[in-house]
Parts: sequence; structure tokens; C-alpha cells
Amino acid sequence: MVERHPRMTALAYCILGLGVVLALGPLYLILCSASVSSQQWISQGMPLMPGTALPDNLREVAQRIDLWRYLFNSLLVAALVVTGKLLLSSVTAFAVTYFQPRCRGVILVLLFSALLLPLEVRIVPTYAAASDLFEPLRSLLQALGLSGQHAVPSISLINTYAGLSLPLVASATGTFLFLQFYRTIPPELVEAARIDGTGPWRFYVDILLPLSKTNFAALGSIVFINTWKDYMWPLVITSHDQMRTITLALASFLPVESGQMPQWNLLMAAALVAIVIPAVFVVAAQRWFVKGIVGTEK
Amino acid sequence: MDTRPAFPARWFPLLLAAPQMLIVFLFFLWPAVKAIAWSFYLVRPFGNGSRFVGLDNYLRILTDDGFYASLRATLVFTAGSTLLAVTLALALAACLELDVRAKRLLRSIFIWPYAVAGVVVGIVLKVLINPVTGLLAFLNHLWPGLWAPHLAGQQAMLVLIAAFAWTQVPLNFILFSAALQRIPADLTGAAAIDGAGPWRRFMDIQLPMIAPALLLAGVLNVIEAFTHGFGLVDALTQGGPGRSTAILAYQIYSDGFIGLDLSGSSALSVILMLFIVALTVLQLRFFRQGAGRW
Amino acid sequence: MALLLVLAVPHAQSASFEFWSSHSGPMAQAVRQLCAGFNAAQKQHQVRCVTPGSYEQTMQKTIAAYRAAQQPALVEIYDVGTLDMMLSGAIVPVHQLMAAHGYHVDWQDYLPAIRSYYTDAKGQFDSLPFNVSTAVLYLNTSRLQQAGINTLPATWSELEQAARQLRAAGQTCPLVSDFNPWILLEQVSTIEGAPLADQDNGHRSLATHYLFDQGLHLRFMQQVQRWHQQHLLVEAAATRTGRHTLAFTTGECAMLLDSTSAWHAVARSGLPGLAVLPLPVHAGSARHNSVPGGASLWVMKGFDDQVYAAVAAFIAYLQQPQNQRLLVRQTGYLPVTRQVAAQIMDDAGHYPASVVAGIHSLDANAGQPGVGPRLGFFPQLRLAWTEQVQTALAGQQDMASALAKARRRGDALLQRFRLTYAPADSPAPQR
Repeated sequence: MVERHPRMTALAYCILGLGVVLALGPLYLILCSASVSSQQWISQGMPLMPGTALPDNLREVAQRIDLWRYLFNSLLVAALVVTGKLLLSSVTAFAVTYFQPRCRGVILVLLFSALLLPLEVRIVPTYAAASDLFEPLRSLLQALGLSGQHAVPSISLINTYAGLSLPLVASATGTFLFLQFYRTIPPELVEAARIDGTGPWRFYVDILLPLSKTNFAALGSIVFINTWKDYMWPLVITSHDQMRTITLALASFLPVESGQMPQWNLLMAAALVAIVIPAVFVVAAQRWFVKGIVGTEK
Repeated sequence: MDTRPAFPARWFPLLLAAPQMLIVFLFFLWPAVKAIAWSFYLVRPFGNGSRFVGLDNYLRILTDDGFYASLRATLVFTAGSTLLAVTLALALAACLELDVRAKRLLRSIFIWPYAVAGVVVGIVLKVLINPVTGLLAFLNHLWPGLWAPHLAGQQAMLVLIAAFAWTQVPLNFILFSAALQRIPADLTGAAAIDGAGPWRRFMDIQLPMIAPALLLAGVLNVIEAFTHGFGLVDALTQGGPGRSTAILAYQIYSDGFIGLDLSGSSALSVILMLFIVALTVLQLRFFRQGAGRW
Repeated sequence: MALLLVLAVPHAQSASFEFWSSHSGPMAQAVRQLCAGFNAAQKQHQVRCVTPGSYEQTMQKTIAAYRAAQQPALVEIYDVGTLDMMLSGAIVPVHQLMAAHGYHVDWQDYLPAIRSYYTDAKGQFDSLPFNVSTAVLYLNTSRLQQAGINTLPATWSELEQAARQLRAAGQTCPLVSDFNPWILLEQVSTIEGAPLADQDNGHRSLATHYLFDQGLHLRFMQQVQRWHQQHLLVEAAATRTGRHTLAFTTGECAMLLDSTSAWHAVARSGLPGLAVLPLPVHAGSARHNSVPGGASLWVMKGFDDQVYAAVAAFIAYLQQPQNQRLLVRQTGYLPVTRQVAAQIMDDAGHYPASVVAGIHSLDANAGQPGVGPRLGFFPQLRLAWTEQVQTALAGQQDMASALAKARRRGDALLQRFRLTYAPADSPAPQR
């Protein structure tokens, strides 16, 4: 900056300091709570200074609940959703951009409508759809008065990895992102490919994919975090303990039966486990992550 | 765009687009159609017959003070957390544009809360706000019953607003920082040479120029509050006390999955759908980006 | 005994089936034990015991499964789901199943309170009562003695008096409750013969209306509000642990209104003096039986005869006295038949004190059995009741208007339920 304004700068530091306290304060409190023993909680209430019992608490949490399984589930589902979304979005955008199919408009309208329907507004019927995958087909056969309804198998995605990830894999904004991006690809590249006799799939794999790396990283990092944080869908689609994600498992960590003592220190230790991976990811992959939010145009 | 070269294949593009279209159909459109259909019936949980009642479900909802309590909760929650999140993020982003040090570190600190799920925040808060053993328990030593979020709806709502705003600040901060950095340096430089201090520069140049980003953040926060507020409410208050925090998204889940009221839940879903549609159209008309809504 | 079972039934092919239940803790262990015991006792049939989640989760997973034709053959559904299941058209009545497979079950031996709760208009069981609990009063007798209270309270005024004395002696939490409508609304009213709704609490017909905003319940809740204001009754959320059972077991509170199934935690608490009594009544009122809570087992349609033979065999296994006693001893749930109840009372020393109190509570009979609620959309009524009572306790409205609002909402729910299931009418118990 050109000149110096000490008072403004001091005020700025104050505000920023407040921001740091607000951002890190909860983390500090979680750490304090997670590192004291149960006895200390019972006798002194909530701790304001960290203790030394963190490894012990973590060990006990790992004993009580299947921590590794939950982390594995979260990672697997996040990986599946990221892969699925990136693949489907780019492929659909590719299809719409480089082929001019006749139903291009229909595809775009359908995608747009998907944007208007976040999961929360369709949670009950989506759950019904996931519990009986071919029900639309059966209803169609029924409506048309055709037989063969009973031949349609009844497949349920409840308590499956497919159920956890498949419904989340379609993404309208991802597709629109790639649509915009492909528009910036110089048309000479396509011309050259056609002249060379390269097929469309080769074009996609050899030319478009490498160029899209930045977009993949950006979109992928946001989707990874958001899938990790997802609560409502895993809540309804899983009931077996071993299919739970870490976020969901944390919510069910507190015992339901009224008889057991809630151990807040263990709960906080489990919370730490739930947030450490996405937190490290957000900070480490900041560049891509910010890019994904801000958008890659402009 | 019309003169754009394209590959000649006919059915190949449809094949490529088919998987995404299939999923959109199975898990978005079909359930939405079902929700709309169910909202016109009285649906028996096990099937075996439903009764067509036309608009009765909607009329009933619109004359139910429980619905208006939920609506009020949703609006208060949304407006409160959005205003708080936008203001806080704006202050932080603006300060970070001044002559301060450790910008990289501060940036990381301010965006880390994005990693924390609403439900985790809720669980942690449940411990922190316990009226007997929590952080604010000392208030009850000063005056018994002063801090009682399990009874006083306003206190519960305050906690929710603060918590949700905390989770939204990172997104807003990123948007505002990017917008501030896009302002050409010569503009602010020229103003500085003319003698305008940082505050003047902020009010006259930066704020007006990032107004679109403010609006975008506002719309995104509102949509997030309408939808992802669920996790926080489910963990912290379950809609209580006295329905003061039963935002629409939570009420839909509660009616459908706990009360087994498929018709009522569907009618509420349609109403929420209409809100979201209006907001999304607004978002896409003015800002052609997805920005955080993946 | 198991051998007799096999000989009694005509030889059928072996079959296996799924049994869904919703428990954790000691009850889950008991269920696992029963399932393993059944599989070990005979080689013909196999049961697979699955836990889909909580009561609500099991209910909606059953619904989703049924709609996808993937339902389990046997499922445990909680008490408030009884009417929905009865009207669903998706079940095989259990008395019919047992009769069809040649079992002679003495259905009349079930406790009258349980019969009146679960049977249909002809007095027959659609579902098998499985884990039954009821509400009781737990007392920390050493604290009571310290406060100079030597007789245990049997009426609400005696309870209030005891709470006052405890408070005067320095006990900051005389009585704790989680303000659960199951206890405060349903149990208290039924014990004194005050119905929640007309038409015999919904048993006679679906065209019913709520009555709880007048009379006994209103007076009782106004009393409760007064106790709350005077800090005689503390709500669970205002205690150190946030849970009512734990507030009692840690000694923070001296008296507790809770279910018999809290026994497991209470017994492990190590409190020096413990007493369990049926809930108090108002002085001068006759005591009726309390409401059986918990869950019952339902047989789902859509299976072939071999599977049903296996299910019937499993049900017969569960009904055996020693298996009922196993459940009672390990979990603190109550016996469902008079025979087993009598066996337990004879041997009361080996069973939890809450069970004895619970049996007394269920068996009280002032001439006519008290009729528990059989009402549609009941979970939502409970939520409405809780919402309104919370606002009344927070001082935002008086209890009469709160209950009136809850009643209005309840009536709307009942009407909608009736419309949903018209023209079916509710099955009612035999007198």
C-alpha cells in the first residue's frame, strides 16, 4: 500500500484477531475436552486447558466403536462420489458440446431441474426409490396395462455402498462447469482431430481430459469435502452399523439407552477424528478448493 | 456456436449422456414427481390404498400454526445466519486486503471451518451449551435459569444462528477475497494518491465493486440454510424447544420418517421445493456459476 | 421342552427367516441369546436376527421393505405403531398363525392390561407382546431417610410433601423427569381411569376425539407446572448429565419417574438405598392398571407355509416360561403371562425390584381394566404435547391453553388418520 494508517491497521488486526479466536476457539475447546479423563470431567466440568489423556481417549474410542470401518466408509464413499461426479459431468458435457445431438435441449432442461431439487426436499421419496430401484419400470408396466411386472426384480440399495454414493453422483453444476470450460477449448483442436481421423472417444481421453485437470482438481476437492460432511442421506440409507460414515457414526456415538453415562471426553475425541481428515484436506488443497468455489472463468 | 465443428456420431452422445440422465431420472425426477403426487393423497404407510384429497393437505398446512412456527423458525434462522456470516466474512476479507502480515496463515485459519459438518458442530455445541456443565453455566450461578436453551426458544435459536454462521463464513470469505482481489490495483492506488484512507477506499470503491459477490454469497447462504441446516438442528435441538427451531427441512424429515406422515411430509416438501426453485432461479439468472453448490 | 415342540408340529421342511428388532444394550444381548438358543435347540429352522436401528427406524425400514416386497417375516414394532400395523393389511394375525400350525396357546393367560392393549375387537392377538415395560417411581431411600421421610409416597400429595422435605434438607433436585408424555400423559391418566380420548381411548372406532385438555390431566399438569416453578421437579436437561436416569443414578436427584427398563442402569449405580414403587395416584382415586409400553412382534404377509412354520416355532419358543423368565431377569422387562408373573412373584428375590413394582402396576384392577391409548398418528401427538408443554413451562402460556392447543392438533391428526383409513374402523378389545 502507498501510505500508512496505523489506527486502521490496528483495527484490522483486532478484527482479524477476533476472527482467529472464533475460527480456532472451538477447535481448541474440542482439543481440551478430548484430552482429559472422564473423572476430570465429572469432578470439574468442562476443561479450559488441555490435558494429557488424548491418546488414551482415542484408544478407548477405537475400542468402543469401529472407528477404522467408519473412516474407511467415509473415504470410500467420498472417492466413489468424486469419481462418479467428475466422470459423469465431464462425459455428459462432452456429449452435449461436441455432438449437437437433437435432444440437447432436453438434456439441459433435465439437468437444470435437478439443480432445483436438493436432497432435503425429496428425502422421503428418494429413500423409497433407493429401496426399490426398478419401481418406476414396474409402475410404467402397470400403467400401460402390460404384464411382466412380477418379472421386474426388486433391488434395494439400502445399506450398500451403491446406495450411499449413486444418488449423489449426478451433478448439474458439474456438468455446467464443464460445458463452460469446453467452450473455451479452441475449435482448431477438434478440427485437427477430425482431420486426423481420431474418434470422439480418443479425443476426449487424449486431449480433453488432460486439459481439464484443473477443473477436476477444483470440482473434486469441493465434492470430496461435501460428501464427507454429508449427514442426511447416510442417515436414512443406512441402518447397519458397519455401513455408517464417520460423520453419521459420531452423531450416534452417544448411547441411546438411558442407563449409560455419556462420556463427553470420548465424544470430543471422536469428533476430532471425524474432522481431522477434511480439515487437513481443506488446508492442504486450498488452491484447488478455492478455485472450485470461485469458479474457473474470469 | 453453430459453426462449431462436431463429431458426426448420432447415438454415441446419447450413450454418453445416458448414465447421468438415468441417475437424474431415478433419484431426482421420479422422487420429485412422487412427492408431488403423494401431496395430493392421504397415503397409507404400507400402501394398499390411498385416498385422493386434492389440495386438502396444502389447505391443512396453510391453516396450521405449527407450519407457521416452522416457517418463522426457517426465516429467522436463515436471515440471522446469513447476515451474520456475510458481515463477519466481509470484515475479515476486507481486513486481509490491508497491510497485514501472515496473510497465507490467516487465510488458512479462516477457511478451515468449511471442513466441519453441521452435525459435528451441533454435537460439540450440545456439550458446550449444557446449562450445568457447559461454558455458559456460570450465567446460571449469577441468576438461576438465565441460560436455559432447552427451555427458551430464543436462546436455542441464537445458538443455532451462531453455529450455522460459523460454518458459512469460510465460503463467503473465499468469495469476498477473490472479488476484492479482482479489483484493479490502479483504482485503489489512484484513490490512495488522492488522499482517500482505507475506510474511504473500502466504502467508495471496494464495497460497491464486490456487491455482486455479496449478493451471491447471500443467496448461497440462504439456500444452504434452507437445506443443510438439517444436520445442525437434528444434532442440537431436534426442532425444540416447543418447535421454535423446527426448520422446514427438519420438519419434513420428522413428519416423514418419525411421524410416518407421507402425505404431510410430501406437501411440505413441495412447498420447500418452491422456495428453492425461486432462489435457484435467482442465483442462476444473476450469477452464471455454481459456486459451492456441487 | 424343545423336543416336545418339534413332535407337536407336523413335520415340515426346514426354513429360515429374518427377525428384525430394535435394541442395544442388555435387551440386544437377550435377543441374541434367544435367537441363538432357538437355532441351537433344533436343527429344522433358522432365525436370522437383525437390528435395523431404533424403533422409528425399524418402523420405516419395514414400510420401505414391504413396499419393495422385501419385508422380514417377523418384526418388532413399538407400541405406538400398533394401530398402523393393525390397519396395514400387511400382517398375518399371530393367533391365526399359531392356530394354523397346530399350536395351542392359552391366549387368555396374558395379563389383562396387555390383553386390553393389544387385542382386536374379538379379543384376539394380532401381534405377540414381547418386551413390556411400564412406568414406575424410583426412590433413593437413604436420601429420603436423611430428610426425615419414613413412609414411601403412594399419592401425589405425599410425593409433593416428600419433595418439599427433601428440598428443605438441601437436596437441590428432589424429583427428576424428562417430561415424557408416555409417563405424564398416558400412564398417569390410565392409572386413574381417565381416558385420553373418547371411544374407549380409540379402541371402539377411528372417529375419536381427545379429552386430555380437561379434567384429570389438566389438573395434574397444572400441578406439575407448579412443582417445576417451585423447583420440586427438575427437568432432565437442567441436570449435570442431561439425562433423567443418570441424574438419579449419580445421586444428583432423589426420586425418578421412569420406565421399568431403566432398572439395569439403576441397579449398577451402587446407590445405598433403593426402592421402586408403582406410580402414585391422587388421594382417594381407585388405582387401575398402567399402560404396557415396549413393543410387540408382528408376522408379515408374503411368505410361504414353510417359513410360517418356522416363525410359529420361534414364537412358541419365545413363549416358553423359561425364556420369558430369561428376558425378564436380564433386561428388567416384564412378564406377559399370568403364569410367568406368578412364578416371578414367588421368587421375587431373584428378580429386579422394578419388575415386582411393574407387575403390581400392570395388575392393579379397580374392577375394569384401564384401557391404554390406541390412536392414530400418536407419535405426532406426543410431539405436539411436548412442544406445548415446553412453552407452558417456559412461561409463555398457561398450561390450560397449552393443552388445548395440543388437543386441537391431536384432533386434526385423528381426523386425518380416520380419512386415510376409511372405511376401515378400529378393532377394539374384548371386555
